[in-house]
Amino acid sequence: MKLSKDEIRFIDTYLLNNDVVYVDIRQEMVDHIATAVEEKMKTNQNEFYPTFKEYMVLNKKEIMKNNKKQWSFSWEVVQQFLLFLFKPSMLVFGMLLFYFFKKVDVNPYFSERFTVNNLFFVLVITLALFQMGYVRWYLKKRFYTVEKAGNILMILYQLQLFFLPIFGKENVTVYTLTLFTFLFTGYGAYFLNEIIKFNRHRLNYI
Amino acid sequence: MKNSQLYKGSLTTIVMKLLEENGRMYGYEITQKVKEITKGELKITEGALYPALHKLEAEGVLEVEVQNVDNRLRKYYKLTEKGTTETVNRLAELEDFIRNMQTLVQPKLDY
Repeated sequence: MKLSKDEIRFIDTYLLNNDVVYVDIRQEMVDHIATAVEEKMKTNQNEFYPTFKEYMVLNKKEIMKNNKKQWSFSWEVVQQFLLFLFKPSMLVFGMLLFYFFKKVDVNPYFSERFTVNNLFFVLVITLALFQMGYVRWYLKKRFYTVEKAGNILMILYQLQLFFLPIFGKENVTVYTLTLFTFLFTGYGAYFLNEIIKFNRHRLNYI
Repeated sequence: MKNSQLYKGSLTTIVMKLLEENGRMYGYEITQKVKEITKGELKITEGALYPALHKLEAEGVLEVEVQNVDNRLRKYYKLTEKGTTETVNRLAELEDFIRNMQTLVQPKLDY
């Protein structure tokens, strides 16, 4: 006994009304509930609505544990980002960056009017705006796979505020500059990589 | 999950073993397969299964395929190359653990 499109939509709306905002998280939950309900309808020879109601009364608490809230911090995402940074190609890029900053002194290009902090701030804003624009105007739906990376950008922004000199008088060391350039460009590459992975399935979602 | 504290540490290994045997599976299918194999003794809850699957995916152990099935999207999980190697290691670890537990619980006493 298979559920109709309307019944599937009913489950989807129910979850949306229960704060499951991300489409990809919701889709997996919809499939789980729909499969379980279909089986129960077959076994008990019952209609959709009473079966769904009965299933949710018993399982709602467990099902909702999978709902990732907006901007919730996740170690999985941080772990995924770190794994990405330790890819051989990224490590080679990091070494090239170090070599570049060792050879070229970039400190004279910064002043009190435009510090290295300002540069990273511009980078963060650009990355954040791109991410927001991609979700709001291009996808027009919210996906955890796409938005989860936002936490990392926040962490990187806070880290650079802590480690980089706020005023232009102090020179930034080659190590600090290499590290943060590596982290920010690494983040950009990681986000693009996530979008490419996501796009393989995007048409299915939309 | 029944006796959750005892089974908790083995959940990912159980999932990986099932995926090794069945190729690709979706969440509900995994819960039902475990229930069927253990004759209803072990029930994996949704709240435990999906975070474990997402964690394994983040670690690069699993990859996903999304497919349209019966008016909805279904997310299938399958082992990556890294995942296949990891499954062998984790199963060996689990077997060692079970052996050690058996020795501890039922020690052969020498008189």
